[in-house]
Amino acid sequence: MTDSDASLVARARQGDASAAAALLRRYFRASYLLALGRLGNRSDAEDACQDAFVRCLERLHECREPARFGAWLLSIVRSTAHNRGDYLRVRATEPLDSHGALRSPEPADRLAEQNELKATLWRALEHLSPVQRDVVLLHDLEGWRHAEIAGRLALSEGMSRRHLSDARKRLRALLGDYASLEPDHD
Amino acid sequence: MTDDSREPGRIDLRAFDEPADPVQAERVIGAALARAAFAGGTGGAAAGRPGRRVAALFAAAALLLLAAGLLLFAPRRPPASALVAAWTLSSHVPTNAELLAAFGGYGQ
Repeated sequence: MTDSDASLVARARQGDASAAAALLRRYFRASYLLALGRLGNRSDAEDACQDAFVRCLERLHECREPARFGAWLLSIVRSTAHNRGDYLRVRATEPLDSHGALRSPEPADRLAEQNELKATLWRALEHLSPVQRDVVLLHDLEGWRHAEIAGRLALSEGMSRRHLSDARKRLRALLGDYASLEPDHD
Repeated sequence: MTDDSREPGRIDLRAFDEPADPVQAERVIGAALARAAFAGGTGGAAAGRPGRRVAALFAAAALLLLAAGLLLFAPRRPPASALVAAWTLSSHVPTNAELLAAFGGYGQ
């Protein structure tokens, strides 16, 4: 039987490291995708997650609704990733984005092709609002349902659907025939 | 009917990131637990617990009281003007050390 968030939070507050690890493991993937959606690369997203997890552990006693730990953690992840993005933009020596052509010439090999595709998707995702990015990544990449997204991102289900719809329209307009269509899961 | 029904289907975003990687998760979580000194109890999460915080506040308040007591009850030096008057009346020529002590350094 899976422990509830509330019981894991209670144990973690008593200093149970395995309970704390279980909580973070439960929300790692969502945290990572939200950070990735704001920062665009793996190492920055991992760093942001680590910083956010440290903040979360240090402030665990401030989590007022342990049953909604996931929403609380993801809000910390989003603000941490946002701040890190601002910091990286200030430090960057070159502009992070070039919103011109989303496509590039033929890739040299498979790895280069993957990297190019990833970069193409990232440039397209950058055209979305942060919350649209969160919703489309959690729904279309991670397979979350609107009820879960709404609960974790403090949105209504209706708003989650609205953001997803807007995000998809925008991405299709930007990506053209790349955006392959698959059956929806909710 | 939902908004999804107006949209034909989901976008293929799989190229944006590799599938879930347990090693990556454990690396990040392990580092966070270590940084928060979660198991050690010497700081981080343990220090953030209310009991510890209250104790820290009491300690800070005790230090403040001690500092205030020292300021109130510390022996006071006579004002420089009184010393100068005394030297004048007794025709005493002060040494450099006496002048420095009377005026509290080179400031005055």
